[in-house]
Amino acid sequence: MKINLKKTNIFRDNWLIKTIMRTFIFLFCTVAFSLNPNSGFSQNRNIIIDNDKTISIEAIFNLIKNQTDYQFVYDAEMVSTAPLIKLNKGVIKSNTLLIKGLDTIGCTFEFASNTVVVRKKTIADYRNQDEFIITGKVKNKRDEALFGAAIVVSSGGFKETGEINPNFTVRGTQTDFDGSFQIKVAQGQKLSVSYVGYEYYEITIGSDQTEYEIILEDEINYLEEVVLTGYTKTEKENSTVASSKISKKDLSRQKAINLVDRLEGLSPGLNITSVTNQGGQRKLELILRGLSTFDNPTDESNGQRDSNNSINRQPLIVLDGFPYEGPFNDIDPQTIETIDILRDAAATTLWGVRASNGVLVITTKRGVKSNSKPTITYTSNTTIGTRQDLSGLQLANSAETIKVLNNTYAIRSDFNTSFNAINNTFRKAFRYAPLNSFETIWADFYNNVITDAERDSRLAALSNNNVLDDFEKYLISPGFIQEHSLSMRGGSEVSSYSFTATHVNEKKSDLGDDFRRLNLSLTTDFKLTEKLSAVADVSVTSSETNDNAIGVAELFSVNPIQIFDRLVDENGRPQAIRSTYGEFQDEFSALGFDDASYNPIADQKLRDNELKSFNLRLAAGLNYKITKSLTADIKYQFNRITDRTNNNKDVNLFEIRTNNNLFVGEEVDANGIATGNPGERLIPYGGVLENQVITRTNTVLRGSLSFNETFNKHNVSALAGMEVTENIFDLTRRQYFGYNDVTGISNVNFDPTLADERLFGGQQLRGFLGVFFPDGLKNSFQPEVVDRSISTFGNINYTYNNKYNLSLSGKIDQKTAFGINERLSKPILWAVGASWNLDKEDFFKVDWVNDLKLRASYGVNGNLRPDLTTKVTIEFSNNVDFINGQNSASFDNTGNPNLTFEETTTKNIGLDFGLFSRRIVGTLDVYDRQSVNLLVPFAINSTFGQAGTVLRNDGKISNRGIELNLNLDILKNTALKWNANFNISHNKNEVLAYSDNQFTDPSEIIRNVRTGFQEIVGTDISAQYRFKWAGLDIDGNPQVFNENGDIVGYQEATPTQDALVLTKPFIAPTFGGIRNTFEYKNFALSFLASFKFGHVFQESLDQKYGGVGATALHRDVANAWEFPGDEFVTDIPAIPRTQEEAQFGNFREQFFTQSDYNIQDAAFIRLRDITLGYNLDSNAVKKIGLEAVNFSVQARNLGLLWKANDVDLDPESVPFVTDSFNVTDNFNGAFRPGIQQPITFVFGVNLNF
Amino acid sequence: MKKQLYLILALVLFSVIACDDYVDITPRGNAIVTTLDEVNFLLNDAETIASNSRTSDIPSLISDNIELVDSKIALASSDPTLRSIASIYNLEPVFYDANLQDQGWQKHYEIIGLANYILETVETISTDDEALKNQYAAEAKVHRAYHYFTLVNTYAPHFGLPEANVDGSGVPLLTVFSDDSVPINKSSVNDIYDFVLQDLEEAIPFLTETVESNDRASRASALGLLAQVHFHMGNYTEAITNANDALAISAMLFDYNTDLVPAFFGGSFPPNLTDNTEVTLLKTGNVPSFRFTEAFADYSDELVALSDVDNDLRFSFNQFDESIGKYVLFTDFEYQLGVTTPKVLLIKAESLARTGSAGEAMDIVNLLRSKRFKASFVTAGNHLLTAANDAEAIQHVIDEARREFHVAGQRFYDIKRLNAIENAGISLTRGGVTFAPNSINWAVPIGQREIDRSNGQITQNPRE
Repeated sequence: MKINLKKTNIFRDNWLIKTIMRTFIFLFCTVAFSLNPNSGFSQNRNIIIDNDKTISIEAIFNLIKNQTDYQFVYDAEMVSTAPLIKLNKGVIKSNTLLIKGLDTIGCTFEFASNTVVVRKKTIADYRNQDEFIITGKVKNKRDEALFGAAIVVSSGGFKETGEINPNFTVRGTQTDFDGSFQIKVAQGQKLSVSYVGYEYYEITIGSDQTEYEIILEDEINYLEEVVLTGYTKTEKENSTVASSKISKKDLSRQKAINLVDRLEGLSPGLNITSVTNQGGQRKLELILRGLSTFDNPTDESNGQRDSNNSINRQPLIVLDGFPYEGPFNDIDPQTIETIDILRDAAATTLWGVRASNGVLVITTKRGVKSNSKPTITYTSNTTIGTRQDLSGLQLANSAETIKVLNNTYAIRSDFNTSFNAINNTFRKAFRYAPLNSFETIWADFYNNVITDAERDSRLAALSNNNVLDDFEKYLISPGFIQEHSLSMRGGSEVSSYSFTATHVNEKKSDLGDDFRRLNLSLTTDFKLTEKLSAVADVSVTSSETNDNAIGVAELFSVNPIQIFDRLVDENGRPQAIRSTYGEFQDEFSALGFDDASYNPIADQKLRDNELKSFNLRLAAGLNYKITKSLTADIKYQFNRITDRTNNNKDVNLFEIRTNNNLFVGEEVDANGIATGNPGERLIPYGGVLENQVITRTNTVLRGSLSFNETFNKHNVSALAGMEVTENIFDLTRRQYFGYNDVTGISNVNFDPTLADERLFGGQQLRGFLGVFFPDGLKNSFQPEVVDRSISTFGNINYTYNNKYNLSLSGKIDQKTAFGINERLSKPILWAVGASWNLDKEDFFKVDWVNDLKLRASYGVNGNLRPDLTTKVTIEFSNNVDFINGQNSASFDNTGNPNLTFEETTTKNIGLDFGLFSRRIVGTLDVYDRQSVNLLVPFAINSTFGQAGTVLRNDGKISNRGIELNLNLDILKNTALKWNANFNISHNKNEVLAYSDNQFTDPSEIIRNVRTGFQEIVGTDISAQYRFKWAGLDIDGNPQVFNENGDIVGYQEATPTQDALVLTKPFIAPTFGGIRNTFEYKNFALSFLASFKFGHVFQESLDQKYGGVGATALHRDVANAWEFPGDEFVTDIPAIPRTQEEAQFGNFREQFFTQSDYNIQDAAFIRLRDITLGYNLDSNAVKKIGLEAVNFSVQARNLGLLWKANDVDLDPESVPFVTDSFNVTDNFNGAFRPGIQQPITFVFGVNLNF
Repeated sequence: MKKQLYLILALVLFSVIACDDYVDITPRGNAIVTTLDEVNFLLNDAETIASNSRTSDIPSLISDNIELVDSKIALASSDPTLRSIASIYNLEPVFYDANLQDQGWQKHYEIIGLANYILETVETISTDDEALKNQYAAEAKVHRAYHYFTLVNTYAPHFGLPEANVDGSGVPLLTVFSDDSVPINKSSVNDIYDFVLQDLEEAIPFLTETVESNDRASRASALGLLAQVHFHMGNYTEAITNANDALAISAMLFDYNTDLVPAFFGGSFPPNLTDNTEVTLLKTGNVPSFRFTEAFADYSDELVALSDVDNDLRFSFNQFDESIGKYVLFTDFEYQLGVTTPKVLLIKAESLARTGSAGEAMDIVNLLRSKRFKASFVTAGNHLLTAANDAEAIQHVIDEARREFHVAGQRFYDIKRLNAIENAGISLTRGGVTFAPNSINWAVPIGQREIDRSNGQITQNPRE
C-alpha cells in the first residue's frame, strides 16, 4: 500500500496524522467504522470548475486541494481503478464533487479537521437514504413459487460476475413458502434475487414501484431440469436417456425417517417390494424394471460372502457421484436434493458392470454462492404410532389350539415320565425339558397324578387365556419416532457450504427394540481462482440399534410362547411359561443345573443386544478450467462403514442358562444314568458376550476431462476418464465366556476351540436337554478381503440446433476377480441414444403442444457377481473341525473357466411431452430388456468330484414394459390450486432359459418353494407351481387334481409335473402411485396412494394344517374337517389323526399347504398417507424473527382402499418382527403376511431463519 | 500452477493405465492353493474326508445280518428323503430315482475329487520340503484308493468274476478334479483294482508310520487297506504280509469290559471319531434313521442266532425293542468303515485259515473274542473257539466277522467276496427279489440322477 501525504509541512510530526494513518489501515482490515460524510464534512466549500473536462479522481482531489486547505488521505491503488469523471464548467459543492467521484468506486469519505479520509463505503453508509417497503413474489417460468430465494438489496456492485459484491449489500431476506417477500429499499438501490438452479436477477429500484413480480429464468444446470448420471450432467432438453427425477419436495413430503420408505409410488419403473424379514426387520427391496438376474440375496447378517453376493439384484445406489456401498438407510433424507432414477442403458452405461439393474443417483444439497445471509432451517417430525392389531395374525384362539394339540398329544405319550427305560420314546430329553402349562397337564395325566376329568378341566381353564392380550400389555407398545434436523446453507462469492445435522430416535413397537441415528453432513465448494475450484464434503452417520424385543415371532420359535400362555400371574407379576416338570425339579437342581424356566417378560428386560454403526464419508474434488471449453476434474472418495455388534447375554437369560446347562458335566454309568459328581462346568460359568465387528472401506479416485463447445448450431460435450476403486472387507467375531457385564471380566483364556474334549466327545448333556449344539460357539476371524477395479470411460453428446441429440457412451471395467480371464475382465459396455425435439421444428406448430421430444436408446450393461472366479479356490476355516479339532480348508469355488459376466441389453423408446401451457407434463417409455449369460445353478454330475451345483452362464430373462408418468396442474392460476402426479408401470417378466436339470418330481419342485428357488422357463421369475386343489375326500384328507384331471388323494400315485398349476407372479407386474396436492391460501393438503396389480401372495401354510410341530395355528383350523359331510363346507383337512398323517412333509401335508388353495390375489390400492400443511402468515412470522414457519400433520399407513383378496389380509403387511422368526421362516420368496403396519401420525414443524 | 496441474492430471489419468497389476492382488481368506500349508488344511477337513454318513446305506442294508420289520420299511417309504432306504432294503431295480441323490456315490467321488485336486496341485508347489510334499500326495492317494475300492466293491461285480474284466464293468475312473470335459465312462473292475493297488504301493513309502489323528492316512492304514484289497482278490499270502506289517505298527484293540464309553441316548459305544484308537483310517457311516428316533439297523434273527447275546459285550451297543422283537442299534451309533484293527486281524485270520494255518487263525479269533466278552466269561475260558480243520476255522472267522461288524456293512462286501472268490453260494432274498450267488444284481444300481446327467456315458448296472 502506498500512502500519499500532501503538504506535509504542517502536519509532519503531528500525532493526528499518525492516528489517522492507523485508523486508515484499520479500516482496510475491517469495515466497522462509520461516520456520516454529510455531517462530518462541515465545511462544504464551493469549488469552481473553469471549463468542461474529464479528469481522474486524483485530479479532483488536486482540484479541491488547490481551492481549499484540505488534505487528502487515500489508498492510491484503490482510486486508481476509478473511471474518469466528466465535469461541467461551473461551481459545485466540494461534497457533491467528491460523492460523484467516489461513488463510482464504492467509496466515501470522512472529514476531520482539514483532512479528508477516503475509504470504502460500509453498509451503514447506504442506509440513511429515504427508504420504503416493497413487496414481491418470486416464481419460475412454470409459475411455481420459489421458496427460500435470496433477496438482496445493494447499492452499486459489479454485475458481470453474476454475483453481488459483498461490500455493497445493504440488507437481505428470502422468500417464504409462497415465494413472496418484503424488504426496505431506497431509490436507486439494486434488488437482486438468486436461487439455486436459476439465473441471477437484478433490477434497480425506481421511485414509485412497490410491488414486484419476479420470474427467474432457469439456469443451465438447474437440477430439476438436468439429468444427472453421477458422471455427467445433461440438460433434460438435450438428453437422450430414460430417467425420472424425485425432487426434494416430493421426498420431504414423506415424513418417514428412512429413505426407502419415502420412495414408494414416486417413480415409474421402481417397484418397492416388501420381502422376507431377514435380520428381523421389514425389508424392502427395490426392483427397477423387473428382476434381471437369478441371483438370490442371501442372509446379509452372515458376513462378507453373503453380503457380497446379494448386492447385484437391486439398483446401484450412487451418492454424489460415487457408488454407495453402505446401508441405504444410513442416508439422511434431509440432505437430499434430488434422486435421478436411471432406467435405460444410455443413462447407466457409465456404471458399467454394476448397472444392469438400473441406477439411483442421489444428489445432496449444496450451498449457494451468493452473499445472502445463511438459510437456517429447522425441521422436527414426531411420529406417534397406534397399537398394533394383533388380531391381524389371525391366530386360532386357545380353545381351538388346545383342541388340535390334544389330538397330537393323544397320539404321542412323550410325557409319561414313569418310563425311563432307554427303549422308550420318553428319555431324559423330555424328563428335564422345560414344559409349558399344557404339557404339564398331559405329563400329570400320563403319570396318573390327575384323572381324565381333572385334565379336561385344567385344559378348559387354559382355554380362557389369550397370550396376545399379554403381548399387548407387556411386550408391545405404539411406536414413537422423533426426528430433529437443523440445516444451514450459505456462502459468499468464492465459497459456499451446506450443513445438515439430523437426529432420529425411534422406539419401535416391540418393547426393547429401538433405533437412534445421528447424521452430520457438510458440503463445501470453493472457488480458488477464476479457473480452479474445489469441493470438500464430509458426512458422518452414527446409529445405534437395540434388538431386545420379544415379538410375536416368538409364537413360532423353537421354544415358542403359546397362545394359551399367561406371561404374568394373577398379581400381574411376570411369570415363567415353561419350567422343569415339578417331580424332577429337585433332581435337576441337585445335578448342578441352572433353573431351566423361561419367563419372557423378565427375559426381555435382561436382553442387551446392540448394533452400533459408524459410517464416515469423505469426498474431495478439484475442477480446473483448462480452456473455456475444456475442464479437468479429479474426484476422490473415502467411505468407511463400521458395524459393531455387542450382544451381552446375561447369565440369567433363558438362552444362557440353557447354554450353561448344556455343559454341566456328570459322571454317567454304562446306561447313561448319572452316578454322582454333579455340577462340573465344562465351559466358564457366566454370561456370554458376543462381539462382531465388520468394517467395509471403499475408496474411489476418478480423473476426467470434459469438453463442451458450441459452434454455431453444433454443441458437443464429451467426457473421458479413468477410475480406480478399492473395496476392503474385514470381519472379526468373538465370544467371551464367563462374561460379567458389571466387572467387564471374562475368562479370556477360554477358547471353545481348545476346550475340554468332552465338549466334542459326547459326554456332555446336550442330548439329554434336547437342544442342539450351539453354532455360535465358534469364533472366527476373516482376513481383509480386498477387491479392486480400474475403469476407463467415455461419453459424447452432440446436439444440432437444439433439435437433434445424439449420445454415445462406453466403459471398460477391469476387476479383481482372480482367475477371471482377459475377456471377462475387460468387457466393453456401451450405449447409444438419440432424441429429437419435435416441438422445435418449424413444421411442427401445434398450439397446445409446448414440448415434444422423442427418444430412443440401445445399450448393453453388465452385472458381475463379486465372488465369481474361474479358478478353484479354497476357503479356510478356523472353526475347528468337528472331528479332528484342527483348522482346515475346503473348496470355496470349484472354478468354471467359462464363466463370464451377466449382460443386459436394453432398448428404450420414450416420449417427453408438455401440453396446454405445460399443464400436462409427462413421459412415456417403452422398453425391452434382454438379460443373457445369467448365472444359474447347474446340477453337475457328482462323478466329476463335487456335489450339488455349479454356476453356469446359461440363464436368460426378458423384461418388457411400459411406463407412464403424468404431472397435471389441474387448477393453476386460481386461489385453489390442484396438482396431481400419476405414474403407472407395467413390466412383463419372462424366464427364457434356466438350467432345469435339477428337479423333475413335483414334490421336489414344490419343496423348493420353501427355499425360494423355483424358476420356470416361459413364465414370470416369481411365478410358482402349485398342486391344483380338489377339496377334501370323505375322510377329510386333502386331494388334488392329477395330470389327467382326476382327483387323487395323498396315498394314491403322485401327480406328475403336468398336474401342477402355475400361479400368477408373486412380484407385482403393474404398479404405480397417485399423488394429489391441493393448495389454498396458506394450506396445503396432499395424499399419496399406491397400487399394485396382477400378483398373488400365499397365506399361512402349516398354520392352517395343524400338523405335528405347529405351534401357533391359524384360526381356520377351527373349521377343520371333523365329521363326514364336512368336506362339502370346508377345505381345511382333518387334524392329523395318526402318526402317519401327522408327519410333516408327506403328501397329505403338501397337498394342502402347497396347493393353489392358499394362493390369493394380491392386488390392492393403498392410501399411503394424507398430509396437511399450513404456512404461518409471513408478516406475523417475521415479527418474531423468523422467515417462514410451516406446520404439517401426516397420517401414514392408512391401509387399503381396495383389495382383491377376500381373506381380510393386507398382502404387504409386515411379517413378524424379530430375529427368531427366521428360524421357522423357510418360505423365502413366498410371502407370509402378518400384522398390518399400524397407522401412525407425524406432526412436523419447519422453521426458517 | 498450470503446469503442475497438468502434471497431476497426467499422473492420475495415465499412470494407472500402465499398472494392470493393480487388480491382480493376492487374495486372503480364500485362495488358490499355492503352499503345502494349504494342502495340509485341505487334508485336515475331516468333516468332508472322514465323515461318510450315508455311504453305509447300501452295504449295511443289503446283507443277511439285517432284517427290518415291515412297519419300518413303510415308515421309510413314506418319507421322501428316506424312501431310498426302503428301495435298497427291498432290492428294488432302482435305489435312487432322479429326484434323490445317491449320497454314497456322490460322497465317494467328492473325496476322490478332492484327492485328485490335491495330487494335481501338489505337483505345482515348489518347496524345499520334498518329503512333506510326497507325504501329502501319498495321503491323498490312500484316500483315493479307499474310495475307489469301496465304490468298485459296491457298484460293480466282484473282482474275479468273469464279467469283472470287461470294459465298463467297473466304475468311472477319474484322475482329474471337476473337469466335465473328461469322459466318465466306466472302466473295468480289474482296472480299478490295478489303480487302487498302484496308488497304495506308490503311497506307502512316503507315509509316516502313524499320524496324530486317524482321519489322516498313515503307513499303518495304507498297509491295512492293501491287505484288504489283496484279501478281496484272494491273494491271501500278500494279505497276510500286509496285515502283519500293518499290525506291527498299530494293533490296538479295545477291551469292551473297560474301554467302552457311555453315549448320549444310553448304551455303550466304542469311543467315536479320532478317539477310537482301534481305527487307523477313519471313515464313518451312520445308522440311517427316521428323525433320530427310528433306526434302520435291526439285527437279523440269523445274526442273533449266531451270537451269545448274554455274554457278548458287542450287544451292549444295541437295545432290544420289544415292540418289534429285534435288537436295534441306537440312531447315533457310528459305523467304522475304514481301516481298523479288528478288520485287519480278521483278514489275517481268514487268510491264514485259507492258507492252511487254522491254528494261528483261531488264535487271532480268540484274541479278538477275549476282548469282546464279559471278563468273567473270558476268565472261565468260555469265549474260546476251536476248529477241527481249516474249513471250520474259516467258518469261525466268517462268523466272528459277522458278529464283530454286525450291521455296519462289512457283511455285504464279504458276501460278494466269498461268492466270487470262494464260491460260497450265499444268496439274499427280500420279498420276491433274490440276489443269487454271483448274480449281476450284486453290482447294485447307480443313482438314476448320475445316469441321467452323464450324457449316456454312465450306463446303469443291468438287473437280472
